[in-house]
Parts: sequence; structure tokens; C-alpha cells
Amino acid sequence: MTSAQSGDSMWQQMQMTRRLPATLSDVETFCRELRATVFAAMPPRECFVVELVLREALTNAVLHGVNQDDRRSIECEVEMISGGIILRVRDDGEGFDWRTRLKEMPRSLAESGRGLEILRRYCAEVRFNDAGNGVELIRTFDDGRQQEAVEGDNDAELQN
Amino acid sequence: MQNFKIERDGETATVFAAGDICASSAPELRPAMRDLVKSGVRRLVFDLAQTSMLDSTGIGLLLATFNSMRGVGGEFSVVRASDEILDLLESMRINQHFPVSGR
Repeated sequence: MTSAQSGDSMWQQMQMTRRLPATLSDVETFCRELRATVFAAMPPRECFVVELVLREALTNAVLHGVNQDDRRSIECEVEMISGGIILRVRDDGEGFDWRTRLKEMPRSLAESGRGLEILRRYCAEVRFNDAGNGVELIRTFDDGRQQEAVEGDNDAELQN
Repeated sequence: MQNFKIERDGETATVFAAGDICASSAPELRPAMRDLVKSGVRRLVFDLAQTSMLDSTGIGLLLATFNSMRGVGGEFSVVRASDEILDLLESMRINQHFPVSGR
């Protein structure tokens, strides 16, 4: 479902929600579609960063949230706001202990485990729901990398 | 989804990766990188001139290949990365392990 309203900027007020099959190929197709449409209006650096953090959240949901079970699905919401973008990704898996994981840093030569670090580095805010099966990412276009905050969230939208 | 080409000249190999090196595509590159190391390549260059996206799985692929090359005393480098990918690799401190250069 995609909706856009008239006003100062149709782009800024855009919001869309999509439910994807929980496969990496569907994540790839969805991200390429957004790159060619919604994200194409952004400056190149923002287009890259927003797609990158969205990919990390979606991949995490597919791989770790529902273990690539293609009978299950991932819900993704993209909301343009003034000066930034909000991305929400949720799966119906059991979630993970994000509080512990956020304290862990991958070894410098580790070949995996950098997804959360990328989210923290590029997003102004990274909010997980209590269960750890939903995340809200806020990317501020101008200075998102200077504003790092990670916190739990009790927002009902992200609760089971 | 991933298109890649390998040019080999003796112990040197250059990998040209077009498109995205991401969770859906990076795993298929891993066996090819392992084979290169096993077959005697000792200088491996990843050319990202045609690469538009690199995610944490792609970074993992680069580090795995670097680790393999290091294990046999070889050299590994990344060249012609886009500004965005270069910034990502630098901000993640990946360039502390092997040379990374932009376009």
C-alpha cells in the first residue's frame, strides 16, 4: 500500500507499508525497487545510506528473525519526514536479546556481526521493541551520523 | 543477481563485481574467492568500480577473503570504490586491515 498526500512536498509526506515473503531474494527485489523509485529522489549519499540500513534491518529479520522461513513474512514501513526518513521493520519471530547484542562489538577481523554497528553508525535513532522482533530506524539526512542513540521502545506499533 | 568477472595473471587476480555485494549475492562469491586462494593467487584485488551497494554481508566477504589471503602470506586490496562505499569501509575501520581506495 502506498499513499501520498498533496502539500509542501509530496515526497516528504509519503508513507508506504509492504509485507514481504521472508527471503533474501525478496529483500533484494524490494530494495532495488525502492532505489529506483522512492529513494531516487534523495541525494546519492542518502540514497545509499537509507538503502543500506534498510537492507540490514530486513536481512536481520529474514536470517535471524524467522530463519529464512519463506512461509512467513516481514513487514516494512517507510515514512518520509521533514529532514529525514523513518524505517520500521518487523517480523513475527521470537525476537532477540538486543540489549545484550548492542553491548557486543565484533572482533576487528570477524566476518559477520556488523549489521547492528551499521545501524548505530548511520541512524540518528535505533529503537527495538521489547521482544526484539521489531525495529524503528530514524535517519536524519543532514547529520544522522553525529546523533547516535539506541534505546528500547514501548511504542504499541512495534509491540506484539 | 551478482555479476562478477575474474581476470587472472599468474599469481595476481582482479575481481570485478557489478551491482550489489549484499546478503543475497555475497555467499555465491565466497567459493570463487576460496578457489582463487587455493589455486595459488597471492595478490587479489577487488575492483568495485561497478559496485553500487555493499552491506555487512559484503563487508564480511571482503574480510573473509582478506583473512584467506593473509593465511597464505598474500596481499589483498579494494580499489575504485564509490564515495559512499569508501566512507562505509572507512567508518567501519575496515581500511585498517587492507588498502582501500576510491574511484
